Amino acid sequence: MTDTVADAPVLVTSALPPTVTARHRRPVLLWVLAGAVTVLLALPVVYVVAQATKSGWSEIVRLVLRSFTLELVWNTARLSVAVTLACAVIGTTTAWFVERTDLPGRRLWAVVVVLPVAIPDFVVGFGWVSVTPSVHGFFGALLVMTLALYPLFYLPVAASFRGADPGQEEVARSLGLGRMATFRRVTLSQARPALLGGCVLVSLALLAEYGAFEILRYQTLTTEIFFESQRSYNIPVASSLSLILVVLSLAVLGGDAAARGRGRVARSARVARAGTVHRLGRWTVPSLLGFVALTVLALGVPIGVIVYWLFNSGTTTLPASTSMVGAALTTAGYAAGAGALATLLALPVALLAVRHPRRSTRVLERSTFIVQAIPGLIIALALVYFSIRGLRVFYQSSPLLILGYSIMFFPLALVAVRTSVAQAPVELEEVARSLGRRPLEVWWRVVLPLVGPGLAAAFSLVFLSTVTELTLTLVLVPTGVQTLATQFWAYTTNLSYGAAAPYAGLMIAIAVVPSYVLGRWFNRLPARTREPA
Amino acid sequence: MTGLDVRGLHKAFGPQPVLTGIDLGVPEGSLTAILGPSGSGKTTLLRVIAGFERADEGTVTVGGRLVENSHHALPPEQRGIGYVPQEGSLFPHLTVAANIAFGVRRPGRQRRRPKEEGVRRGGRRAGASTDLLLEMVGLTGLGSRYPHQLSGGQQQRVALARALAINPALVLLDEPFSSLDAGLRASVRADVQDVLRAEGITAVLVTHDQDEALSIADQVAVIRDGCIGQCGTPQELYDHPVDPDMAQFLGDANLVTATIDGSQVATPFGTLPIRVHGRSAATNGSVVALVRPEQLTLSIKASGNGMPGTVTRTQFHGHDTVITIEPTSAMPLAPAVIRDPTVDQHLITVRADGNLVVADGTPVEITAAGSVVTWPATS
Repeated sequence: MTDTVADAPVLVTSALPPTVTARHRRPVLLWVLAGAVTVLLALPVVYVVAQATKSGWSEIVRLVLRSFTLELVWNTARLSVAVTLACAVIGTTTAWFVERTDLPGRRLWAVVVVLPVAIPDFVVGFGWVSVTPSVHGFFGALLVMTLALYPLFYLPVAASFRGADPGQEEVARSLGLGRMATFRRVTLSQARPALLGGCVLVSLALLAEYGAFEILRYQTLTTEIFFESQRSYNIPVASSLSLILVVLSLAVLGGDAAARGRGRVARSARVARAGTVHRLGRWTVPSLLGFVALTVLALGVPIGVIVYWLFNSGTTTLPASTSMVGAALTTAGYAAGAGALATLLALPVALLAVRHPRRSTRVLERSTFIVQAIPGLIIALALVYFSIRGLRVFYQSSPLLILGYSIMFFPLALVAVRTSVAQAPVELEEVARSLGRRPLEVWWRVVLPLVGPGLAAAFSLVFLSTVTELTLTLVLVPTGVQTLATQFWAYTTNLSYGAAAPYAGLMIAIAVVPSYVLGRWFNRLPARTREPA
Repeated sequence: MTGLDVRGLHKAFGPQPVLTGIDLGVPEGSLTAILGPSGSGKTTLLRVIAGFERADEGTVTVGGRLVENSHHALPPEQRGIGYVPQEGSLFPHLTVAANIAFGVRRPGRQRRRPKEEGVRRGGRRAGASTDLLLEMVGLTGLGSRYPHQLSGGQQQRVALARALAINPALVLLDEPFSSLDAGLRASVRADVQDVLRAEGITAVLVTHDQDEALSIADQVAVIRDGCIGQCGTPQELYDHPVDPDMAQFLGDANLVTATIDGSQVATPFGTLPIRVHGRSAATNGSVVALVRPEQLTLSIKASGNGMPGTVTRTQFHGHDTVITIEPTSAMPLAPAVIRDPTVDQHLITVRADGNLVVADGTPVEITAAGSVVTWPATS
C-alpha cells in the first residue's frame, strides 16, 4: 500500500459494477413470479364461481335443495366425521404406544404403521372388495378409509409426542394429577396442533376421494360430480355440487384456523429430552396383538390380495408386460414432470415468505394453501374449462395433466421447499460474499447444498402423490395414453381383478422409493436445525 | 494511516433514518468498539461497511482504499473485509476445516483482479494453513468436525478463523459474544482480543454491553440517534463523558446538583476539584456533577463532612459490594438529566470493598474523593 493512495483515495470506477441499486431493494421479480403462481392456483376457485354465476343463483339454490343433493351432503358429512374420529383414535393410540411405551419392536412398528400411507385408497378398497363383496356402503367405506388414512394422524401426533416437553407431564404429576388425567390434560393438549392437522388432512382426503368410493359403491358429492361431469355431461348439476364441495372443504380449513387460534403450545425447554416411557407389563401381549391385527387389516389385506392375484390368475388375464412397462414409464414421466414443476412453482412463494417476512408475503403464502381444499376432480374440471375456452392446444395434452398435478400437490411442495429455504439463511450468503465469493459461486457452494435436499424432498413428495393419483388423471389424461392408475382402473371397473393387481403392485413399488428418500430427509432435519443456536 | 475511515454516512430504511452522518476513524491495527443500545443503528453501520447494505450518502475507506461513496459501491466479495456475525453463521454442510478454507483461493487459481491487485493490502492469505488458524483460535484437531458438533464458543472461534483466513484488511464483529453464556463470554472475548492483537488486525466490534466495550477496545465509539455521540479511549469516555446521558450509559453514575466555587465544586458529599475538560469547565454557579460509585466512601461514624443516609440494599459481588443508600434529606437533583427510567435517581450508589458488610437500615455517612465532571444544570 503506497501513501499516495492513502492520501487521495480514488475509487476505480471502471472496476465497479454500474451503480448497485440495492439501496431500497424490493423483491420485484419474486413478487411477480409468486403473484403469477397464486393466480394459477386460484383458477379452480375462479372456475367454480364462474360456473355458479353462469347458471344463476336461483338455479343453484334449486339444485342444492333437492333431496338427492342433501342426501349426498349427508353421506359425505357423516362419513367424514366417522372416519376422522376413527383415524384420530387409531392414529393417536398407535403413536402413544410407539413413542411412549416399552412396546417390543417400537422402531419396527414406527415404520410398519406408516406404510399404509403409500398404498392408494382405491387399492385398499380394491383389496377388500376382492376379498369379500360384503364390504360396501357406509360401513365398508368407514373400514377402508380408516385403514387407509389413519397414518395421516399417526405421523403428526407421533412427531408431537416425540418433541413435547416431558417437563410439563412431570409437573402435572407433581401437582397431583394421575396418569390418565395427565394424558388427557397435558399430553393430548400438547398434541393439539398435530391432532387438528390430522383432522384437516383426513377430512379433506375424504371430501376429495373418488376411486375407493366408486369401488365400494358409496355415493358422495365427489362421486356424483364425477358421474355428472364425465358420464351424463350435466354441467349445471356438476357445478352446483362442486360449489357445495368447495364450500365444505373451505369450512374444514376455516374451522382448523379458528380452532388453532385459541390455543398456543409453548415449549420452554430448549434441550430435547425423551419423554417418559411407560411400562406395559402384562399389557404387552394384548398391545402387540393389536398392532399385528392393525397391520394385517391395513397392509396384509391389500398387499396379500395383489400378491394372490399375481400368482393365482391365469396367464391369459395378465396384461402384456410391454403395456405395463409402457404405463409405468408414462406414469414416472408424468410424476417427474409434476414433481419438478410443483417444486419450481413453490420456490418463489417460499423465497418470498422466508426471505421477506412481511404481512403481505404471509397473506400471499397462506392464500396458496387454499388449493389444499380444492379436490383434484374440481382442479381437473377447471383446467378442462379454461383450456377449452382459452388455450385449445392444451386440451387433452400431457402438459395440462402435469400442470393439474402441480396445482393439486402444490401445498406439499411448498411445505418442503419452505423448510429447505429456511435452511439457508441470508446471513450465510452474506458471510460467503464477505469471504470473497461472487453471487453465483455463493449459490453454487452454499445455497444449493443447503436447499438441495429439501428440493429433492419436495420433488419426491409430489412424485409419490402423482404416481398414485387417480381422479384428476381420469379426467385429464390424453386420449390413448395409459398410466398405471388408469390401467388399474380400467381393469378394476371390468372386475378383472387379476389383471388390475400387477398395476397396483407397480404403483406401490414406484411410490416406495421416494418415501424412502423422504424418510431419510426428515431424519436428517433435526441435526440440521440444531446448528448455530 | 487509518484502517477504516467513515465520513458523513447517511442511511435510511424507507422514511426511517437510521444513520444520520456517521464520522469514524479507526487506526490501523486497533480494535474499536461501537457501543449503542439496540436499535441505534450500530449493526446497520457494520453492514454498510461490509457492503451488505448501500449507504445513501457518505464514504467508506478501508486501508486507504475507497470502497463506497454515494455513487458506487464495491460488492462485499471485493472489499477484503472479514465478517463475524452474531451467531457465527458457519456453513452447516461444511466441516470446520472447509468452513475456514471457504474464502481461501489455492495458489495459481487466484482470480484475476485487474487494477486492484496493487491497492489491496497483502492480498488473500493463499495457503495460510487451516491448521495454523485452528491453532490460533485454540481448536487444534477439530478440523473434521461439523458445526453442529461444536459448542457456541467454539463456533464463534471458527467464525473468527474463517474471517481471518482471507487475510482481511479489516475484521467486523457483530455482537459476537452476545449468544454465549456469561462464563464462556469472558474467555472467548479474551481469546479473540489476543488473536486480533497478536495479528495486528484492524477490527470493529459492535456491542450493546458497555463492560465489554470498555474492557476489550482500544477505542470506543458510542452511537446515539444515528450519530457518533462520543469517541475516544475507554478511559476518556468513562472519565470525561460529554453529557450526563453518556455518563449514565457508560456505567453506574451518581448525578447530583452541585455549586461551582472557583476550581472547586461543592457537592452533597463534600467539596471536590473539577476535572478540567471541554465544556464542563466553562460553567458557573449551579451545575450537574458526576460522581462515580467507586469515588464514594461509607463511614458509620458521622463526621459532619459527608452526606448522611440509610443503607437500603447491599449487593455482594465477591470482588466488590454495591451498596444503595437513601439520603436522609431530599437530594437536590436536576430533573433534566434524569432520562433513564431504570435508574432510581434519588438513591446513591456506592461501590465498596468486597469485605464490607453493612446491614440494611444502617445509618451511614458518604464522603467522596477524586475529581468530578460537571455540566451546566440546564443541559
